[in-house]
Amino acid sequence: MIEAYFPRTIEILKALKLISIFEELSAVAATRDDDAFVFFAESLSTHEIILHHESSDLIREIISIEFDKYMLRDTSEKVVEIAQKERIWNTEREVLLTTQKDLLKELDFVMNPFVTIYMSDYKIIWDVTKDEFMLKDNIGQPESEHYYVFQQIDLFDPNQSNILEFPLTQYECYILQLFKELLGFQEALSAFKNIFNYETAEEQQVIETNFRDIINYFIYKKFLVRPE
Amino acid sequence: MKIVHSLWTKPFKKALHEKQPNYGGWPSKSFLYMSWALSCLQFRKFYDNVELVTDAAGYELLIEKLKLPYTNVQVVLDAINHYPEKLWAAGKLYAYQLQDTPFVHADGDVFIWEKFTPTLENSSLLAQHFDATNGHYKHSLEEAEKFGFHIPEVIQEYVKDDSNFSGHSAGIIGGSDLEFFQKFCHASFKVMDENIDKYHVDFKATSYALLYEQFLFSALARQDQKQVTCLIDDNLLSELHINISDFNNKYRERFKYAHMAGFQKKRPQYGYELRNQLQVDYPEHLELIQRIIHD
Repeated sequence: MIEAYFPRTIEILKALKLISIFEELSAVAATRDDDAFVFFAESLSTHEIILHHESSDLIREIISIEFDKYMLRDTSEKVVEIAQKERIWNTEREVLLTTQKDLLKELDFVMNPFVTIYMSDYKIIWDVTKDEFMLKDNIGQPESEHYYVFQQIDLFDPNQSNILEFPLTQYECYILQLFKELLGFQEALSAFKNIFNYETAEEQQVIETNFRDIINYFIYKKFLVRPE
Repeated sequence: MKIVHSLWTKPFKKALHEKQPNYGGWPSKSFLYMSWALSCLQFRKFYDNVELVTDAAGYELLIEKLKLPYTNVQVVLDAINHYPEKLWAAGKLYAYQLQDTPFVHADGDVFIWEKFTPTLENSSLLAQHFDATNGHYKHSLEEAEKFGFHIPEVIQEYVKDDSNFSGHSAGIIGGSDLEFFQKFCHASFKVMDENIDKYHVDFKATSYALLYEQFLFSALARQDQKQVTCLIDDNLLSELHINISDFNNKYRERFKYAHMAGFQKKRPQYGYELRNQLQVDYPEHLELIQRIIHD
């Protein structure tokens, strides 16, 4: 059971030939009733060999991310509540991206309450182009900045988890964070433009086009929704 | 223009008994049903003539249970049940062979939100796009060679030039050159028949399908100097940053088309978005599918 929620942890520990620690601790955790996952994540990330390993930061971050994702998953009751919102948002999205596309710049948006932004020093998300995690690529590499969202949806996967994950670019992450509070399209655009030192009208146009494309993508993904 | 869907259910029936069933690449039966429903309903929105070629079980599923509004149905694919289920594209080939008027065959995981252009519809041969830099074809051929499968001469000739490890994606395929399709289908079934005693080995079904469908189609078209019109040019795909397997294409200004090809369908976000699309545009069909799944 624990294995299903820690695929990245398994992959990186296998790559580093430390998988026996996972097997040992997951077997112990499986005997515990209520706190199996908390016990497992804590004992694995504080295991002496892992603490002193040269890739300790990478391993511990992967464990932390997978544990957080596990904790985000919802109960069936909560998923029913999400489903009610999804129905409304799906209809709203359809209108926004079709008939009201030209009106977006006059509207306010807010970040979907079921979306969580995540920042990591490592590239830990599924690589859609290769159809696998590329975690080994992080080994021995200097820390960098990566951005993701976890999105709670109204469907369970076979592991009874209802969390989707998507990568974000640095700019996408910046813009999405602006909408943690209700904000107008134009206000967000002004804030976004302020981070660039553009000089020409053409440069300004490129920034505005990129901003609009990002907002369209966020509306499509329902990372941004209309206030209730 | 006539649109053709084909569903040969033998590959799915086998999947029901496997530990990790493969519902046409979707992670569950409900998504497979949703995919056929959305694909059919969207084609019907833009085309008056959408035909289905299937077998008895496919008729029961798509017509009797899902009540999809095909304009004509041919229940003929039980005739190919002697082929192993791993030859999942055999049903498509049989459907191409049946056509006696210009057609566009679309996979059950292809979705449109606008009509095809007249240029495409009037082409003698048409396909989705040309995979110019696709290593899958090389892998497909290497695997066929590894298992000692017979490889048609036209493909051997085609790949003498190393740059030809490429082919036309058959998410949609068709045209008005019915003579060519007869030749292509005959050659394809010949490949399947010539290797019939070798299918006990653990070959990759989708990789092999590339060989007897897309690769063969492209090699024959090149040999006969036939021009194939593509829905979208390979260069334009990269230029416009288009991901063909993206429901977001519905909201683009151009290229309102999606094909949920390959391994991507396994990822939960694709099934989720498929459900979202059905929920908004065809809620009555979504409810019907949910009832069928729960019964």
